[in-house]
Amino acid sequence: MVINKMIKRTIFEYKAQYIGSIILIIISCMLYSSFNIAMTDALDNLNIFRINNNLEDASFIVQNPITNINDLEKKYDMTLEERKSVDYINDDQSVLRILSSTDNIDKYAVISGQPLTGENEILIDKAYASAHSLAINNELKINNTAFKIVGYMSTPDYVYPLKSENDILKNPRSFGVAVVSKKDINAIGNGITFYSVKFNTNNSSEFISDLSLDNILIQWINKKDNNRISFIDSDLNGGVVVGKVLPIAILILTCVLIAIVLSRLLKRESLVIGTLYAMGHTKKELVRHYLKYPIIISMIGSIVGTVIGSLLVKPLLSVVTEYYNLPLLSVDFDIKYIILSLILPFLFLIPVTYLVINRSLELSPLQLMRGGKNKTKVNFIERKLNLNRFNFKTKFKIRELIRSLPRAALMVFGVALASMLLLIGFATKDSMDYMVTNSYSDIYKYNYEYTFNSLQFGEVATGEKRSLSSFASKINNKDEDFIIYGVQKDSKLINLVDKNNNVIGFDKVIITKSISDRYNISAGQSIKVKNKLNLKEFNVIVDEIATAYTGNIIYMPLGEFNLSNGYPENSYLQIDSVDQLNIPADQLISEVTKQDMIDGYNTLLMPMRVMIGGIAVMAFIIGLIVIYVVTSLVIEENKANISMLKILGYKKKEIYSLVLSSNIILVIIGYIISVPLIIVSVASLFNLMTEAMNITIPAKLNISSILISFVIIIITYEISESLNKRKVMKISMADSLKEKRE
Amino acid sequence: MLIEIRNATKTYKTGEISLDALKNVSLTMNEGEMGVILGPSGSGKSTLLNIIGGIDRIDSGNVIVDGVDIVGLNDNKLTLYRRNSVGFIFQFYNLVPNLTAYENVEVAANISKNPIDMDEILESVGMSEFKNRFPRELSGGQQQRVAIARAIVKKPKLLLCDEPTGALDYNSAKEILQLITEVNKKFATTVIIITHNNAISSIANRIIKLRSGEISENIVNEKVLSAERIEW
Repeated sequence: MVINKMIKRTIFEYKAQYIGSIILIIISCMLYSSFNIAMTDALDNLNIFRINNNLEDASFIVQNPITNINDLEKKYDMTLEERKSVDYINDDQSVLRILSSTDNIDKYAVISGQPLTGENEILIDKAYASAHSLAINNELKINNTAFKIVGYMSTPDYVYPLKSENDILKNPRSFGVAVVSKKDINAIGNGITFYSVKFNTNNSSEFISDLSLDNILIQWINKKDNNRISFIDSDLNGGVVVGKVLPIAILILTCVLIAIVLSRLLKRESLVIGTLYAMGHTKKELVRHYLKYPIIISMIGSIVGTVIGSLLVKPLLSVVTEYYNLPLLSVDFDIKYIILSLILPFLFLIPVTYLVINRSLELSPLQLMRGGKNKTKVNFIERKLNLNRFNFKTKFKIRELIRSLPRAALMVFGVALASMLLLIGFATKDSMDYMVTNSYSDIYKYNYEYTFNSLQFGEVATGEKRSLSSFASKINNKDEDFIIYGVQKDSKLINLVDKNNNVIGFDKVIITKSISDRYNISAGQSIKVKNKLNLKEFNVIVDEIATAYTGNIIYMPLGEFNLSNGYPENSYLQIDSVDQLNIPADQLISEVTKQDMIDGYNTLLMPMRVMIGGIAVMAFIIGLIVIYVVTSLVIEENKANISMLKILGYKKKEIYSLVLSSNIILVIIGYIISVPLIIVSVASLFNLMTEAMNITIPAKLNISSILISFVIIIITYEISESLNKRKVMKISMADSLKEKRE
Repeated sequence: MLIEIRNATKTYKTGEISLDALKNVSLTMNEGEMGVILGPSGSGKSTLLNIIGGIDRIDSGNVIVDGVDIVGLNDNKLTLYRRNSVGFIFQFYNLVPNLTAYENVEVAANISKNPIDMDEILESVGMSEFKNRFPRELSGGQQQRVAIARAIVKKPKLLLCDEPTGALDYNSAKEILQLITEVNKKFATTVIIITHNNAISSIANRIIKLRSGEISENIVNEKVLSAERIEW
């Protein structure tokens, strides 16, 4: 059809609106394809790695070595392997945990370099190597023995290399892992002997009972309670959610935008459409013609977006595999996501625009030639509003705001989406800040936490005694895991406060806010718990809820803890201390330094700032497009009014103020809506991410972040307004003179 | 003398095509006069009105209004000139669709130094009872009444009417012309009406006929008729 020639001309004439829509689709398809392909690939890689290298189901420490491994393996249909680890403290006080290589469980994978073949060879995790300027073929001296670094490696139980399985932030500057042969580790020194186990049948409880018969189980960590193993799942699943929700939200926004732009186009061209009808063109032909606009926009946007997204898969995957110590086994471009990325814009845009076009073309040729039906319909809000008490400028602005409700809705929705995107970075940082401050500064007043590899007795000269054990409880018919700490009644090194900020004493049973929120448990309720180490069951009655997000932790007096668990009186397993203590390494399971955690968090701040910056740029682009397009629609709709105002003698500034400035109210409304929405969304995302984890991340958003984001949104608004001011100036006064309205 | 135009020339150029809209046009009008500019389409009457109203500029010549040559005014001063001295009435009323009748008049009153009372002006154009209606809810004649109220609320020296009855039925058109003549008399406003309807010229003191950008006749009408008495 010859009228198709109009498409290119119209798109070029109103290029800002169409290019804006195309950019939104590009962003949407780019996010969809890159995130979904990369995160699915990362999950696939992780699963393959776990299967191929035989990830443990649990690891544990017992007081006395197990001598009948083969018998136990047969009896319980499982794989059990004895392992050893030595924490080597470097000159810079960083800890390199050297693990013995394994034959059956948690086998290492070489990321680059060569596997261990001979004596005095070591494989090291890449992040630690980078942080300490170590490279393959370098020499590393450990306890006077020179080891040759033959490669970088990863083990399935240290995908996220944390010093303690309860830590949340890694810090390659202070901690790393390495693997040497079984023979070499014995030469390095006395370390910790622990066991990794993988069950073929669901009989772990029986195995634990058996172990406890003639041995003392010091520690039992299921893989899901081990942050070194489970953190990555939550993170990748969070990425998958972001990759699905965000592009769809942007596509919905684009749909509204295109629908409004197209309905304006149809209104503008109603005379042409009416004439074409009158000349004998069929409705089908015209629908087909106008559908070409969303088809062209979707096609350009989806192809460009999918190509860019596909190019981003590898870098994104590298970021994931390098942040987590995960071997990159394969990169598959899942055709399903490529196809979906290509067709999603069509699936969203075509039906919506079809409805808009179809509705416009229902009018008769005569009606169309007269400019369409209800050209300037007075909507019910306009009719009902009584604005007599306002001055003229206010009245004009209010009328302008409510004149086109879809346009106002687009502005509010678009700004809210852009603001949410902007705030997501700030909310993540503020939540992490709060969690770190809450956990490591406000609650834990000690600097060092020592965990022994066997029960200790008596009094301590320095520090405070503590004990711990992991427990299971059936809540809402689901097995949930808890840690119970037995704390000295007069503890000064742990500081818990209630919701009114009053300090809670340790003569009570206290649960964290994480538990209270997650399982809806309040003070006075009873929780039945089962000790995972000795399977002893007892009830705890909750006395207080502490404003703490340190995880699923129950605090109770140490004496009561020992009594309830059947542990010897006066026994303990941990010492908390402000100062460093001189405890032989072979007596300890772990030594945790608070400063390590704070350093770890500070290390994370830089990439987090980059992430916030990246997201802010995207939010800025989306905000700019939406505000610019809506403002240009306002100008287009007000062309005759602007022309009229010029004739009446209004000055430039007065016209800007009357016609354009009312949009700021919509921008502010959009922003205000986004604040509670982002807190709820981030809280849901965190809940989803930490569902299977032993921590809760509270969603927080600081006033400073709200203000900074607001300033960015207002700057976006101002830029878009100033870009549009030129359009206002271009409108000729003569336009008004022969304009037929009403 | 309120308006004095000397040798006004205006050419519109579109690509390689140029169109002489006004060729050495000269005319004068006195304060309080009612003038009608007559001419067929393309004769230059709208161009002339636009130039007098300060919404277009001539290529050469002078347009002196109330002693000031508006040709020499910069954009800001020309804006002030339109704001303070000129009222416009258009063929299609050009009301702001999402403002009520009252608010449409307020558009002009808002920037006027000493506007006439809003209720008084709406009363005088017979629109008091419809003041809260939107343009869409008014007939063409009623909309033009609102447009007249908007034009005169700021008490302009000059009222420029571009085919004010062109979109109206016979009776409404006569009512509007009646109203314009009343304004002319009541406020001593100089009125210029452009039209292609010969009959309307009977209500004017001065009749200027334009053809192809040139004044073909400039007549002082001694036999002014009231709007009620004219027929077409």
